[in-house]
Amino acid sequence: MKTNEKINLFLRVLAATFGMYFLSSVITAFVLVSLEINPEIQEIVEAFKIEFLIGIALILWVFYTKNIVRAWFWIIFMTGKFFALSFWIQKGGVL
Amino acid sequence: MNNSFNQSMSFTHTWVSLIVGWAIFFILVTGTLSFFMYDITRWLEPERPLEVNLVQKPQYEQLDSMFDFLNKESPEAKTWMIKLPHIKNQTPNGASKTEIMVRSSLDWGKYWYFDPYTLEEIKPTQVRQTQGGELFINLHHQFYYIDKYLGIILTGILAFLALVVIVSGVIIHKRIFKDFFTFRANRHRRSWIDIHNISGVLTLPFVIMILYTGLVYYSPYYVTIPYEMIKEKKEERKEAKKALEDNSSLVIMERPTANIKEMLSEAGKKFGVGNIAYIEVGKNITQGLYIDLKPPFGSELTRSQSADTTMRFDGITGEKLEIIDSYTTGTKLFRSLVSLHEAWFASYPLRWLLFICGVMSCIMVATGLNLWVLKRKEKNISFGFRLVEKLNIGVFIGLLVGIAGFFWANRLLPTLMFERDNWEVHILFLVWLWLILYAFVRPVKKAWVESFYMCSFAFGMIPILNFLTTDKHLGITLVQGDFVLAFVDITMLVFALAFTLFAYRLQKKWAINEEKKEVIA
Repeated sequence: MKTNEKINLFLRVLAATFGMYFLSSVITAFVLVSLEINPEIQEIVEAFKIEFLIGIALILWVFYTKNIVRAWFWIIFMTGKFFALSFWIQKGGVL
Repeated sequence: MNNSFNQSMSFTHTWVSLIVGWAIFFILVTGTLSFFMYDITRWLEPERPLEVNLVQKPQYEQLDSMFDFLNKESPEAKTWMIKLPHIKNQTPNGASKTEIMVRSSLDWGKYWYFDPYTLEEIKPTQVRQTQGGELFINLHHQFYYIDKYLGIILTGILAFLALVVIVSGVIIHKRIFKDFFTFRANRHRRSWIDIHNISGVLTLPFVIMILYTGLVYYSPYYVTIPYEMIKEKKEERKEAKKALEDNSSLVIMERPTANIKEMLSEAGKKFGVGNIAYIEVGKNITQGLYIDLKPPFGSELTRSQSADTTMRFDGITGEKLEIIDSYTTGTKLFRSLVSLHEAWFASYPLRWLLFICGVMSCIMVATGLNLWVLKRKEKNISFGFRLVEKLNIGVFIGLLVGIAGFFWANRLLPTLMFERDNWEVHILFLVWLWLILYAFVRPVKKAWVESFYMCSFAFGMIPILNFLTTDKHLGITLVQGDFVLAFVDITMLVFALAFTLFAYRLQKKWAINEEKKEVIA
């Protein structure tokens, strides 16, 4: 395996572990915080533990995507975006 | 990463399964055994009496007597709990049909057992020191020799990765239905692929269910961010709900005086005669003294208290009371997923089906990792390849021999030995380690065949050792009708036979191949 390929694989493994963990967590947080208006549905979605489903999809994606650097950009961007949105909704939609 | 989606999925399937394969095999084997956890406990404690249908007093007499006992023993408790004899009542010592089990909220860890005929308290039987069937459930979700919480987190990570392997495996198999019916015998690698596919496809719903519900089971340990974010508001809602329906228990308990016979017959109409086996007595502000009559705990998937699962009566007047369904749909869903994983709701035939699915999923994992070796055999002689090849033998068959060693140790270690229960487990791991080392010192083909023969001998000897050391062997259990206990021995014999056949077939096939090679040479 060449050095480039090794770095590529390492970045994918990192994305599939830490990247996946944080992104799936904040997407779930966003969904749950958004459902605060209907606690009954929120609890149902919570019980389904959608973070695992999102996590699986993310792992498959990071091993499939052509450009892992671009994927990392998206992971960081989406994690930040969903975290900020969840935080914003939790504070009642005002900053 | 690779050229096509399928190729990248194939890459993920192959390499992630190589990382998690052996550990997942361990989790699957121990989990499969846990379906019969309490029955295994009974086998491991042969000092206990057989579980045969004995004569018992009518349920109302049993309950009356238990109320008297609890009133004397635990009057200041908030709740009393009584489990009447029923095959689906899970008790820690495995006795479900021959004992009445009583507990009170003063100390949930204290159990009282009563004879259902004489209604006298059964003094605790002196049993050998063993971790019992519970060992397998502990190994299954938290491993051994490491911190409990670290074990839970590790099993979670492994289960999650296994789910990734399953999903990628489904994606790379385009012909699910064709694979279902395809088996090409005597085609070397092809045959292995077919076994892997058949066991994978057949157990697919089971594997997805068991991995996913396993993740849900301990999810608070794995993902915390989303739940921390909604925790505060959830607590607020809970407090508000609590304040609204003040159902708090009163401290002074009374002995129910209402006619329990009528209550039982009315509840029997709903849940089936003789199906009431779980009784709770409590007292709250709004309803006063109440008696809850329910089918055995865990019979219902939701494990909740609602009009569908419980019938509540006034403890003084005997009137039927309304049940407040305090569980939300979300909680019920969560509990249902947990119930699916534990399979307490399942009757024995369904539990056997789950057991068979568990065995087949173990076969799927083992054949999958063996395929990794077979695919690389001709072109690869690296250290990594050799390591995987040897570990496959040692880990897969060694674990099975180790488990058989645990059962041997239970029968052969002196009953008064210091730390006997821990030594049973040490023996499991020592035998496993020995088999791994054995695989490394023997040539591959010989290691496979000999390990299989050892495995078959180890399992085949279990019923014989049981016969030689106890009076709860097949000759007694089958004659007296304790079939659950008898099936532990019979299953061991079936496994022994299967391993012998497998070893014999491998040996014969490889001998023919060698002959062919010699002729060609």
